[in-house]
Amino acid sequence: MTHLQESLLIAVRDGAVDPPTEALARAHLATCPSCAGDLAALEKRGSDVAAALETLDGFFDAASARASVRVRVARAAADAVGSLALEADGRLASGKLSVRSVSRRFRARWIRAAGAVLFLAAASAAAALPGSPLRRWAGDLIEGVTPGPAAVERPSPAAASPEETTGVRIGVSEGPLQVLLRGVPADGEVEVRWVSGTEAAVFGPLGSRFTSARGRIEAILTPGRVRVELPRSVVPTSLVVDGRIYLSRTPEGLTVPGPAIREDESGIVFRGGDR
Amino acid sequence: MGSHHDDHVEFDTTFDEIYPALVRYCHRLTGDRDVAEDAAQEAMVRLFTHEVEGPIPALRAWAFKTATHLVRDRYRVEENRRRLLQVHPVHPGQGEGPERRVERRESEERARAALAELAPRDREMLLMRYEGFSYREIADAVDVAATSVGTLLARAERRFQEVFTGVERTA
Repeated sequence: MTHLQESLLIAVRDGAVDPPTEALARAHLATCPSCAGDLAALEKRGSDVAAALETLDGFFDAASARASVRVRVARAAADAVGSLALEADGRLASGKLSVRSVSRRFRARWIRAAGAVLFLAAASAAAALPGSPLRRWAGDLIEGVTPGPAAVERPSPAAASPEETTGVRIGVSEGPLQVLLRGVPADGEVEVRWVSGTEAAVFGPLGSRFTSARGRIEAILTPGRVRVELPRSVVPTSLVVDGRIYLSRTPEGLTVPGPAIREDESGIVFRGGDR
Repeated sequence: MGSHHDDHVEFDTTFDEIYPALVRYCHRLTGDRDVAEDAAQEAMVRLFTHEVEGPIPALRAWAFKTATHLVRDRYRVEENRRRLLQVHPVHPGQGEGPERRVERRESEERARAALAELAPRDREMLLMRYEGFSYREIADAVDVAATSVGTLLARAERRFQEVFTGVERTA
């Protein structure tokens, strides 16, 4: 008896053969214990390989990635309208320029992007004139293009100083809270502020990358000043910089093994990159 | 505002349908979290800026193919290629005990070693298969004849299992 080849059996297993071929193969399998055994072995092998591959998988923060891609797509369109894009950059970074202007249906993308940029420039000018009737009008419209709720975490420049141009903020009602920073240069500084409320945040220079999960923020930072906001009420809380614990807050109290430069009631400033 | 809302829904839906599997594929392919996220996000940016049209499965196949080429380009230099085959740690979930963590790490190393034994194209095909792609989509992504996919997949899967279980026996 001629037996089925492994390549055909694996295609049958994967449902990748056309119906007539599958019917012939199934007819053979019904009468050939050897091939049926081979198919069963292939099915088990498939399960084993799938399980083995799953061990490679880690957690990836899709919400942050989505926000990042949205900003990059919007920025790509704004770049195309030349120097005016610079006017909109702050809005783009904050996610306040709708991705509408750069949707996949690009037929009107440049017009839309240019319109958005011109509008934002006009709105900014209007907002700079206290008492101007344009101010409220422009402000309302800017809020009107704020991204939808799917962007759970996105840059929060409103809370950052001019040099802290990007960041991530998460809600954390109870501990543990872990903040992991990487790439802080030796001559850099990490400023930790104790804040009220139930939100933790990390801000860093533009180009820094952030991921977050429940009770956890990870940041890969570009050189520059870093600010971390930690809620006073959340314990345990830990801050790890380039693999070293800088601070740990537990119900028993605060320990600060990191290289602190200054410390007061409002927070601690650390030297960066100390290994 | 309706159009604005629809555009956001479309963006979010498309992203959420594709990205999680895409970054998982890239991570399995490279073993490097940063490279995986870079490639997956770059592929998504290109998807949204290159006027790619079609149903979600077609967009998904396009994004995977693009990410595959991005990873290939990244590792074209031999020095980087060696990095591709290194074992990179995966952060375990909170609450995972030390024994389970060790087991997971050992299994991860065996799986990474098994993938490293495969030719790049075979590795891509195997990983795409386990993301649920059809043989035709795999053939298109890695530039082989659709009729060859079964044979190549069988070989890749067999080799993967040999190395994975072989390491297991000597461990």
